[in-house]
Amino acid sequence: MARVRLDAVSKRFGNVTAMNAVTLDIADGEFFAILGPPGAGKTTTLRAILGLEKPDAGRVLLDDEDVTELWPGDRDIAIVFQNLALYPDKTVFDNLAFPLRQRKLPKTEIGERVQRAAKVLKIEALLGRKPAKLSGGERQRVAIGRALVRDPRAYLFDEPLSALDALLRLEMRSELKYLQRDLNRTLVYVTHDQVEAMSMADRIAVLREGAVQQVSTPEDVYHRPVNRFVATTIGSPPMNFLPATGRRHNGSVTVEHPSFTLRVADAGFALEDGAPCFVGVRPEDVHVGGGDAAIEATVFVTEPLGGETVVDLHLGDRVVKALAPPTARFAADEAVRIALDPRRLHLFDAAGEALVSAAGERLFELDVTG
Amino acid sequence: MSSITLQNLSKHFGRLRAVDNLDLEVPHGSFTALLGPSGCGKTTTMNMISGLETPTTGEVLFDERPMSKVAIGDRNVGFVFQNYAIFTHMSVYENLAFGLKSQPRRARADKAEIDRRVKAVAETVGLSAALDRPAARLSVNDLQKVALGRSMIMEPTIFLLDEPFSNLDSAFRAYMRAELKRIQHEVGQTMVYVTHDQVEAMGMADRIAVMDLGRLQQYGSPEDLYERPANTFVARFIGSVLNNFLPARYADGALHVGDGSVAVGDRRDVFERHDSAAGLTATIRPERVRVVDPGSDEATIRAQVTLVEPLGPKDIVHLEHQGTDVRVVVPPDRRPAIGSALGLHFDPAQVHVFDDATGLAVR
Repeated sequence: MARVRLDAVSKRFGNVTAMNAVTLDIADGEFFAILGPPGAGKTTTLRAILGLEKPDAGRVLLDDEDVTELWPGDRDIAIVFQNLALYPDKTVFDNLAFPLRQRKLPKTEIGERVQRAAKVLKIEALLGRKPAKLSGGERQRVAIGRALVRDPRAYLFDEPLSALDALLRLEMRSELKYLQRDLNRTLVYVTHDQVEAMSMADRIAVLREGAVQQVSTPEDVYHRPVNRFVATTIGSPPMNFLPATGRRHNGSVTVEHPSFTLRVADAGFALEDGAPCFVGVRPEDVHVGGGDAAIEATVFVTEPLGGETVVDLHLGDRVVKALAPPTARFAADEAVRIALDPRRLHLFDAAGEALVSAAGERLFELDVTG
Repeated sequence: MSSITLQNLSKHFGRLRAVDNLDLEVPHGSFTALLGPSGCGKTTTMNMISGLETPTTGEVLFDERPMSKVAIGDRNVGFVFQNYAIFTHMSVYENLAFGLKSQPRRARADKAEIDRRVKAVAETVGLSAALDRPAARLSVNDLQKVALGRSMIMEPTIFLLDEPFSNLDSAFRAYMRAELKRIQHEVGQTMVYVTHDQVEAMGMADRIAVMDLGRLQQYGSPEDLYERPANTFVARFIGSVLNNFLPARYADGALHVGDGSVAVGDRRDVFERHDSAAGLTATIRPERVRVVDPGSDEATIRAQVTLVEPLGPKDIVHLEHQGTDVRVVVPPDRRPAIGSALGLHFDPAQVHVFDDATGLAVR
């Protein structure tokens, strides 16, 4: 059981800053995801927790103990790697027992631990088989089992599903979430896949170029992203950004887009008169047709995905993605009217920092132009 | 523009049947996706269309003309691969013009014609502002546009694309999906698109050939695959949320699913005739299950909430019913508590039934 903390950890490789003063406080028993594109510093962060990378600056703490100088073997943390490193000539049982034999545990205890892990992972029937006789998902379970038998203070998972095909990833996602809940142990999960992070984790840290952008719950990073990077990383299809201009007179703030104007109630943020900004709106908050729809747009293409249809629209010179029910049918170049849900809009400054997110509140009044 | 016909097409590598007796008709001007997991035979199929692979048996025809004696270079096929081969020391303009300039002198377009075509293609793929830029300084996303443009400028009769977006980040992939679909719509060229990603295939293609283990599983529109899957493989492979599979049996004029029953209506004759000794499996999409009060008459089955996966715009709720994991999609503002009991209503029209022995839809 462990609370895992990084206190202003930095790590450089030559000219590349892999971690830039990364501070994280991961609670005991938490399912914590570290999300970011390749090169964001996710794996380096994981390796710093494990002790495989020595920070240039900052501290790593397990509970209240400073482990920055401690060897990996002395930290009692287990890791599951992306590339499943199983011994091909050993049976599943021997693969699971290997880390325990290395630590010279009594034979009966090894047997008990392997059986317990196999039961949790539903691989009891496979214990006598060799890895070559297993499916991708079964091999992944064995790799996880090798971490499980050790009963460590915390688990680290480095993109464990990325080598699996799409269907198996969908299945393993909920299985891992069940598993962590049953174990009730700290689990740090590194991924570049926002769906994995959103669906599994209690909290998500979004990383970019070695720097933490936001740490919060899935709901919060989705509805209150701190900047355009987080807003684009979370959600699929990604958030739309509409260039607009801030206006300020007599203390009231409006945001002008060629197709609409937003009146902002109680603006508690800095936006200069004439300053360029972006209105952010997620595809599911763009409604095509219907009673409130008054903004003119043109259909570019439609993408029927089965459960829903993505409608790509031209709004001025921008393509805006909207989500529509699967029954919706639009022709290319069809003139339509759309509505933006004012209670779901976001406002970003020219540098991409979030000024405000409505997140369900009545912060914006939207007037259609013309 | 050309139509493509595949007749009894097979490709064996030793004992492996990479492609096994494939029949497919790709209409000219259509956007067709070859979709399946790795090892399903989709790339081998495309390689036989292009001429990179020779079929073991069967025939590839373009506009009803057999291609077996036609060399790759004479098939007039354009390629876009996952790993774009762009000349990084050249500008975008030179990269686009390269194919036209390297044609034999007598077939070569003149300078003015090349210029016109480079500019037209750059406009189509959205590179007009980048023509003078060195390719070495382009983003990964723009490099893929150059690869697309370089193939388009040769005006092939058939366009073959092999997972061209798999190196791109997901936001740009979503953008390119719409762009490519629009480009195909505008140029009207026959496009065959190979992918393992069902979202790409569904979003872009008019028709999708789903393959598994070298065999064609179903060929139809995105709507066909989603609403009327031919077998359990397609029912599982298509859809962003894992489909529900529930043990079922037909008795006394009703379909029994879990401990509930679903009216069969005019499908009664189908079930009466069907010999279901092997048992049946019913599917209903998680986004088509309706949550109702557990005490309501509308509840087909009742189940306990075991897990919630928040995705942002929606939640996937997992429930347990008689040992089976059942998934339902709900809006986040109606997220149920873990352990609570829900009633689930199955609209009979949304329930598909498959034979456990063959995996085929009972219809």
